[in-house]
Amino acid sequence: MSARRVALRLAVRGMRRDRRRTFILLAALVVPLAVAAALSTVRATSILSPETRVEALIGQSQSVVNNGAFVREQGVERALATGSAELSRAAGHSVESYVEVNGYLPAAANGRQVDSFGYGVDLDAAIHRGRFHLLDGRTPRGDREVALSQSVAERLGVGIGDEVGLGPDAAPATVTGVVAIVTDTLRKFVVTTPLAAVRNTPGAASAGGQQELLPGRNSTVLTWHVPVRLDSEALRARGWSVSDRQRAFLLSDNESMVPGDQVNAWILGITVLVVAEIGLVLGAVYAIVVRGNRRELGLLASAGAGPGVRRAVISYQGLLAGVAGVVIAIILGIAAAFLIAPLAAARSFEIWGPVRPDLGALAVLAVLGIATPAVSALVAARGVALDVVAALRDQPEPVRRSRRRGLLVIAGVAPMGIFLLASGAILNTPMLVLVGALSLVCGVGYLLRGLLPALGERAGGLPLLHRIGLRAAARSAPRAAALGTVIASLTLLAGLVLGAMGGLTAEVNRTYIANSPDGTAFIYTTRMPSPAAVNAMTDAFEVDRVVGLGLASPPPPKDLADDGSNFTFWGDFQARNPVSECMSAGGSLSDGSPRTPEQCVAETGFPTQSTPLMVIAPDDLSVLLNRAATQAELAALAQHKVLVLDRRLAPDGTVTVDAPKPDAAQGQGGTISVRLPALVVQERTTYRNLPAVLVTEDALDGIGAVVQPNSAYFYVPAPAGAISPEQEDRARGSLSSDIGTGFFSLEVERGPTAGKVLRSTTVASIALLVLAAATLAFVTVSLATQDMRPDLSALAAAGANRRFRSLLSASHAGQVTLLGVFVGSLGAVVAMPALLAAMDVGWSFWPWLGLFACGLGAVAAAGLAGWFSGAGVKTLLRRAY
Amino acid sequence: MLVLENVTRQYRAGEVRVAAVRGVSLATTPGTMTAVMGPSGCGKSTLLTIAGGLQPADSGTVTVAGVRIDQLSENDLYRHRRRHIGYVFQDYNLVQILTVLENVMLPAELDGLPRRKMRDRALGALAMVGMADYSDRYPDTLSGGQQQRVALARAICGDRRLILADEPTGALDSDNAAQVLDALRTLVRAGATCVVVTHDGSVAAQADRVLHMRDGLLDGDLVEPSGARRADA
Repeated sequence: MSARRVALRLAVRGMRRDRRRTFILLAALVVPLAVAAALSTVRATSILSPETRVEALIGQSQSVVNNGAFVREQGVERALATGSAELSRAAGHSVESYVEVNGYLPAAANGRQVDSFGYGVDLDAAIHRGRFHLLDGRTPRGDREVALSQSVAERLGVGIGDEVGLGPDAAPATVTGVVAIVTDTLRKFVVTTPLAAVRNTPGAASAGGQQELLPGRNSTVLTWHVPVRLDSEALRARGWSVSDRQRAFLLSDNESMVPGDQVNAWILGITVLVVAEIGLVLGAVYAIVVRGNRRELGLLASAGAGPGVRRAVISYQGLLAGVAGVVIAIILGIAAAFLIAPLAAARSFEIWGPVRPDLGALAVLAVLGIATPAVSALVAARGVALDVVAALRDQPEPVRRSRRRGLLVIAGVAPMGIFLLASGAILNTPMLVLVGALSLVCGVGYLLRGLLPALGERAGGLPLLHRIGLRAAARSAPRAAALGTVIASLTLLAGLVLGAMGGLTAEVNRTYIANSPDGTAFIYTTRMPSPAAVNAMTDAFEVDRVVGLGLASPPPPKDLADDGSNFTFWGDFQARNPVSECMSAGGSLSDGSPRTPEQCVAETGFPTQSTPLMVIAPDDLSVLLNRAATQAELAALAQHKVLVLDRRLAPDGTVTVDAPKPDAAQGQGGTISVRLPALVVQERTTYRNLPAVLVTEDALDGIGAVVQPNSAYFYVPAPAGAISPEQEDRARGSLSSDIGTGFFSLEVERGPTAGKVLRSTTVASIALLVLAAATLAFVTVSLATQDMRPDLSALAAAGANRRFRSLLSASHAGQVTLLGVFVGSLGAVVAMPALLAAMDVGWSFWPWLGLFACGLGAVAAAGLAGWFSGAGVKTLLRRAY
Repeated sequence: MLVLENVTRQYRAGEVRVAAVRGVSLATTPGTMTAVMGPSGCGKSTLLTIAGGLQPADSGTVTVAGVRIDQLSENDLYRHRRRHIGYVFQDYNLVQILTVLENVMLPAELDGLPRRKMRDRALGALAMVGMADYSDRYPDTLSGGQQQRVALARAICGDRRLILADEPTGALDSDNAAQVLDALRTLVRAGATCVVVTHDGSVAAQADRVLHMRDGLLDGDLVEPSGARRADA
């Protein structure tokens, strides 16, 4: 048997003999690798292939064509019938084509209505294969059949075989199936035949009412899908617009490439950093293994084994641990991905298909997982160049400390860390900031190796428990410093990740302008609902009162509209506000173009361009203000003053309101301006719909205004909690049954969606980091406490009971972990400004709470690990005697 | 001070059960030193650990200072050990990260006594074994004999009346061994009860009573009273 095989056999036996240590070492390695393997696999699975993305857009079509002018000229229903023939005529040859109708197509059932989008397609046509995913049932085949998205089916509370009403007239249709779009299962949509879609889409069907329809509710788009590539030049010349499949590929690639690569880089980057730091701990642990096996190694030396063989006994242990760890981690990671991927796909409202491991990422993880413990063990194995005689006598090896090397390391690492921090901030590269901060923390960790013995020397005045705990850390300074550095780095990582998430969330919240207070709703109607409908809506929202807000308008024009009917809307009074004044100031942008409302909102900080003069009943004031109205406010209304909800509307105590002269609708121009005495009821509003100017109906005579008979706002206060989707759908149902679909907009304020996603991601990150910090703290402390066993055993011999030993071990682990958390938190405080500058986002409070939770989790886990490890020492004593 | 009645203890060595102590009874007289001799593996160290409460007997009773320690809870047993039993191990069992003085004060500190109050007593115990000058040193800077004397000081500090010593001179040279034995004799003269497990005839020669153990059984007193006791008398 060769010497190497002997070494391998001894390495295996060493690992088997101390199964607990082997298990903990493997756990330390497997946890981050398995998490990274799972995340990279889930990420790879989530990236849809270009072909899948293009199929989701245009199915099997080679060309997609439309002709808006033709549809407008012919009318939607006629265009549907003649479009294919017209296309063939334009192309100069027979073209096989399949029409698709898109538009606003609300669905109603059970007294609820969902403002869904409509697809009018023949789902059984092969050309549409890959666009829709039939989750249940069958495709709609007749004009009285419909398939619903899962979201619509759930919100209406219907299933296959139930009947729903489509469009403004609630045309009955039977639900035949539930469908999803591969890239988005959240969307509210219905699929029916092209003819049914045309007949029930408000804009296409109710030609007489188009003037009153809200914008976006009156456009119906017809598209023809063609299975061959068409000559776009010839068709363009005849007014047809043509998009081919190649263009769809380009669009699809641009949309999806960037985020995926960044996520992968972050997963791998953070894993490399975490595993590299675990390497530090493993190095310290293998140094303990070397010390613990000195006598055996001495015996090997006395039997003729050279330094190479003795080193191999230790380094093979690292190699074996790496191989086993990688195999276990990859199996666990992929298995976890099988569980996580469907949940994550559902959470993202997407359909991902089968799990696909990212082989490149797994290869990197495998190399990392094997190399880290192997190198750690190899470095530690240098210590086997021992004094054989001293080892056989079990005498301690003299400790060699290189003060100069330590100083050199710190002198090199500190400036590099600061340089990387600054570079990351300047170059807007968060990863550089992260690496810089970790360098600094590692430098501090190295510093701890020198500081801990000094601290131990000065621990004489501490209570016994903490004195022994600190002295234990001081005696094993390299091990304790390695553990402290790992905890510090994890704390730092947690701090920076949470800080970044918090910064992004704060940025989203900062730029988001809510329509109204959270959980409330604003409704705008272009037909006046009946009192019964308002009552039904109040019941649907489950609130005591819905506040009606009329629009103050000039008197109606005497002329008739072009079609001979009365005008349904002729403008309203709007108060001048910072945004409208900014816009009327004209274009001052560098390119000379006029300012947009969005630019003026950003410039002035005022939330909206529109501040109508709203007519309110005094009884409703308290509901709108969400507090009791004061006597002064009620008195002001009684005196025909106006109330303003933002001081910027009445900086000098008066408000100027403008309205187009009634004849302006006929194109004759002119504005009526009135200056009104105002009472400011609140300093500022941040809501888009509520910097309003309020007036009573009695005061309108003095202004020369009337209440618009056909348009109004309704404010719905939040019921208990907030307005639920079900309440919203019921209210929508009652309103559309009274004034019709497409004549109102109903917006429930639920906050920024991006903010919610970020918040939930932040919570998930906190949970993951607490878990990681706690696991690693538990694992590393369990290993470290083994180093304390002789002392714990001696304490037991001197009369220290199990509770004391557990407390001592917990105290030691807690002290080292607390030190790490402190250093890491300090690093996070130092690096956070650089990170936020790199990401160009602002501070927020919640990440610090998350960081505190991570730190607490790590200390608690370390304390628990110490407690359980300390309790196990009694067995050692019993074995010893 | 120490009464063992019909104490038994078995070990499992792989598939085989080994009876280390088989129905041993023993009573000591206050102010005497008892030596237990016997070949390796005869069960004498096991008997001492049972007497010191370090491990329980399978059957029989163990009474120390009038209290049946085999009936005490774990915490009560530790407290009773700290207050009444001083144990000297062959390999010292000093806590390496505590100074000599802190090691001697350790049982009292574990009992929650004020450090200042214990300091004088600990220094007195160290003086008794000739180690007062080393109070601020750490154990790993001392020789084996010095460490054993510190262990002895820890065993006697706090007026413990029962000293159990397992091969206290086993790892020492003759000079250090003599110093440790002198310290033990001084304690016995002061009224302590001492039970020493040893291979060493010269240690046994210092005892008032020598018992021989073989295959887990006490054969009975082989020597009484010892020359040393006669000399003391």
